[in-house]
Amino acid sequence: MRLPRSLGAISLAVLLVTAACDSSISTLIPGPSGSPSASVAPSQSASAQPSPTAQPSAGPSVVSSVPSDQLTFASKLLICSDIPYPPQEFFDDQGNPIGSDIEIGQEIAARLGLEPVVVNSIFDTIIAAVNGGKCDIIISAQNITADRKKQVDMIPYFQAGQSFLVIKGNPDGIKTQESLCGRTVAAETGTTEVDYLQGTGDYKTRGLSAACTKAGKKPIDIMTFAKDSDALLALQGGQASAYFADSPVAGYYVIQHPEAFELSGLTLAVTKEGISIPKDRTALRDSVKRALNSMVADGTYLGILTKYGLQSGSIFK
Amino acid sequence: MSWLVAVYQYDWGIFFRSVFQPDGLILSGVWLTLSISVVSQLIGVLLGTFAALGRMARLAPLRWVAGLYVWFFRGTPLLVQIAFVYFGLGVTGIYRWPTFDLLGVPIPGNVQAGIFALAVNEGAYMSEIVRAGIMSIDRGQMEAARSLGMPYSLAMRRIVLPQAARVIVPPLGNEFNNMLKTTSLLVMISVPELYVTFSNKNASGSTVFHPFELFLAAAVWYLLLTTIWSLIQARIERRLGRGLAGSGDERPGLRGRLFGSRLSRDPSLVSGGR
Repeated sequence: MRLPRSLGAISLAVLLVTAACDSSISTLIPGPSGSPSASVAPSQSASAQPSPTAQPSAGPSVVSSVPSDQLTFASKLLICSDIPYPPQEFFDDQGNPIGSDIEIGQEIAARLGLEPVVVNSIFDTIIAAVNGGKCDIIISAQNITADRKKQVDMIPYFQAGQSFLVIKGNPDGIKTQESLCGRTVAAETGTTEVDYLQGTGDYKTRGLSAACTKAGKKPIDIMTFAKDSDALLALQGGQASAYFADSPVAGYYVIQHPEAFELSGLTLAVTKEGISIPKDRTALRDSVKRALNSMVADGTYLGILTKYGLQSGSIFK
Repeated sequence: MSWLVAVYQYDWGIFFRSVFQPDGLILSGVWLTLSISVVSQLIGVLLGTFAALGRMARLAPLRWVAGLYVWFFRGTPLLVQIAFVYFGLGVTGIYRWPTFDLLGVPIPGNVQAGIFALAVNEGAYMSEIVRAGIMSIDRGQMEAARSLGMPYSLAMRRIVLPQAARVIVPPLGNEFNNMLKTTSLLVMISVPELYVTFSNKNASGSTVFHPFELFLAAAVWYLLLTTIWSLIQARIERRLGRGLAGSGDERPGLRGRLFGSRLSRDPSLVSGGR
């Protein structure tokens, strides 16, 4: 049961090493203006070509092709995602990445004639990962914010609110915004949830903790964790009064563990989520947009959301 | 195939402000890193000394307990220990690490758990260092002290350990240097030490998405802490080495200590060659 997972990890490592080798080669070649890099590209990509059987076979028809100079690794679409964040991205029992984001990403890759490779990432450096060439796109329940849009192009594909998860019975009585004052709230580093709590980013003037101090109450004790699953553990271990995450995620944990958790009932504004692509890869961005639109048109998009109970998050009516 | 790296907008102001005009968050991160390191190392040295004495004890059960402790904590990753101590004990309700009030200063649960894990782990490593130190002292020292009528514990405290300290301090300095940096593993349990402070600055706020400048600044802060420690360690070693051959001028100076130079001002050592 463990074997396929480790094999996957090894093949990914090999892939990344190969990619790294390619990078060292390409840095020796004159830059894009010197054009040799473009002429070298096909021969290098040929060595990286997967076996013919790995090509998507019975899948949907290719709606758009992506020039290989827009990809980190020819014929593959590397998708950065911070797993777990169920039901949008998580691992099945065999260790394969699944979830609505993952399936949307895999479908986009298929429609671009590319092989999807999911690169599990840490959320607070996921934009650095895509801009640093560790992957081609990010699909990781990323809300579209002004700060992020300065770094990457974001294609809207989903929407969700933000909810507070509490221990069954809501022992600390988290029901209103005021009830958060003086309490410990756990969330994942780099998320808009943390921005909301501490009043940064798009929530500069309406931070939840600042609202407490303004009302003469104790500030919110904000605990941030590099992995979202660890923030949930802090709630489970009684070290935090609430866990703050996107509503689908908080809702998923209640469905999975109704004996342990419940929703506080305090849900905050619905925000659009986007697929992130480095700003200099406009051709890739346009292709991803076309692939997403074709998925919406033929119902595949809604089918994926419905499979995970997320149809209400559709932004295409 | 081209290697694609998007254009990065450097903001060196972020780096310089983080180093030369640190805000309250950075300073409290430095303070937390330093205080957690010192407390963990002190407890670690105590645990290590007891474990070392335990391993050399005549009583077999004492040897077993000490051996088991060293075996377990040296044999498992510190990150696993941190996760187990905080999350494992927390979710089962065995110990939830409630905030502890130390003379009016509230110590958060994750800081306690972090110190606990670091100290217990450090104790296992220190025990080997202390054991090596004690074994380096001639057996005759203990025998002479005992023949003068000193009980074992007094002879150990007054005669053997003070001499062993000279052997223990250099590797102890190594351990503390390591400890200053290892505290960054507490990122896992959300302790806002130096690394977490900078990672949070990269994740949100006015310095968002500047990992290059921020993590470089974090490195500078760690380097500052370890450098100061090197100076302190040099002084301690000079004190302990007073009146002994191989002390004073022949001991590594600051430059040698920082950069590992083996050159000494003593020509007899330089000209020897190998």
